[in-house]
Amino acid sequence: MDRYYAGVASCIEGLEQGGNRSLVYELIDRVLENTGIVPSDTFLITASTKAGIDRIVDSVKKPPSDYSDSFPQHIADYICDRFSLSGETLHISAACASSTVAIARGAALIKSGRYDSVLICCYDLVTEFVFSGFCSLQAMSPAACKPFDKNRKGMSIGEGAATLLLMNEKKARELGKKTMGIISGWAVTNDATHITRPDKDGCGLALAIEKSALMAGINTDSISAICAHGTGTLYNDSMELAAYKNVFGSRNIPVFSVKGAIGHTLGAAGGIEAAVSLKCLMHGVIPPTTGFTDPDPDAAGLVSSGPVKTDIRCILSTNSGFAGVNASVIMERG
Amino acid sequence: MFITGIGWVTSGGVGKGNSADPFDFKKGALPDISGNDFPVNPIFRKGRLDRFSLLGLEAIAIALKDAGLYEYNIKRHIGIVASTVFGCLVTDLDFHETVTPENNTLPDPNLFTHTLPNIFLGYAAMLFGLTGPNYILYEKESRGHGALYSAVESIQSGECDIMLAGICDVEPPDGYIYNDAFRPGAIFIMIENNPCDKQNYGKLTVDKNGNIYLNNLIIEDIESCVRECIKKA
Repeated sequence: MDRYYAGVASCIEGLEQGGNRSLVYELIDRVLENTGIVPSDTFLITASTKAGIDRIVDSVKKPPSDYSDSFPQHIADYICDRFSLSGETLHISAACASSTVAIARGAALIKSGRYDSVLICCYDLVTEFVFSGFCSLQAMSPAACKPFDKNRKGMSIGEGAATLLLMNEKKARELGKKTMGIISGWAVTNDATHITRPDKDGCGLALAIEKSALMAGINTDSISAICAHGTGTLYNDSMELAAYKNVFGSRNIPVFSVKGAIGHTLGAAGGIEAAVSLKCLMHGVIPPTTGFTDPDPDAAGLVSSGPVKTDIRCILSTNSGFAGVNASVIMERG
Repeated sequence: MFITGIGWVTSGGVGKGNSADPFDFKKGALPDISGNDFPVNPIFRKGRLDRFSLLGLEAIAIALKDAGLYEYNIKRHIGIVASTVFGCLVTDLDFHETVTPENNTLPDPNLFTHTLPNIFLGYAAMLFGLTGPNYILYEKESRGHGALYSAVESIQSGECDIMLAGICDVEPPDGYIYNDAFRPGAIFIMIENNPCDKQNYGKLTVDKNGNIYLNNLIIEDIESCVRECIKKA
């Protein structure tokens, strides 16, 4: 089987195995090339679910000593070297909420006054390991996924990476950096109900949203749009719609998912979606939810198959994952 | 904030802070983990857990008992941060052996679920009603400084008032030790922002440089934190 997995996974074109290291380095190189200048006193937080698993599992057949550079700690060293950072790092693993948790920790580090800038780098690959695992759980859609659609049949996995450079206001001003948005609130919660199935009432996600708003010092009425997790699985999308109803009542708040377009990038999803959310803030446009054609009754009036122009002052981005984890961040216009 | 509970499973044995159990964090094989102390839950099947999850869950259960927070009626906003060196690497390799596309059969879905290192945090949340922040941090040595700092920071930033911080690692597969200082085991401590008059092991503070202090003594890692707590007790 090639890396394109019969067209049901979203792989990055031209990203092919080469040399003796994990393909994840090639993926990271691509995103680092576009990251720009990072101050050397920046703290690094990386996030991924399976890091260099493509090489680690090869150790079943070959001596494992060759594969230690596929562990997340060593991948973080590589990124530090690229930007001549001091080497202080954290690598976060929290299933599909990994990079949203990383953004939350980065924002907390800056809020504490310990660091002026934090680089978030999140990444995950499509591998046979992950693809076959989700197939075994019967979670995969036979065609491209359809988030919040009545006829959704599961998820499509994708691969990707993103970097986000977080700074306090003083540092950004010193360096003349343009502010894309302000991270004003965040929260991480657990459903505490099931390992693989989300809480059907969405109580854990609702709690995360409410706590994020409390930290941001805003009423949830101030939230203009939601970048949802929106995997296209029956259970996840229903849980999210229940949580949004729980928090926002009957308000028709615009909701979108990028996973119909790029697939579920697992540990990178939250970082990529936060970046998309910042673009929404800057341009006042909510992107279409690809694959959404026949609305789930609970999604009608919230999700759209086309772009929506609107005044967005405050956007919420959420992710949920196995082990019952939920994470949310609130970003406001800078 | 104060340390109110300690639990450990190391090659030196199983124990909790408020007991005569000797604490020894050394190299060597871990003891068998029975899981007999886990509470009854209709959707929890102990036999399905991988060893990494069992180990972490056991140490968390002991720390909760030591802090008097094991029993509960309604869910509590308690969080967990755990540092690890290898995570669930052993389970990754076990799962990979079941991936045989040439046979046109699907691999083991239960094993796949356990190839996420944060799964045992979900089990702990489910069994003990813990709704707070929970995530795994990878580190190069089994020190737990990152978990300790992150837990303190979560309390300080108002995210959560009670946090468990710890480390968890089973013995890695042969040939995988890339740091001589590596020791398997799980150690968790309970940190409470405002435990009122509850018995505690000492006061935790943190400075702007990220240094952590227990009763004004600098703490390098979870192990030294536990030793200091036990000495005081």
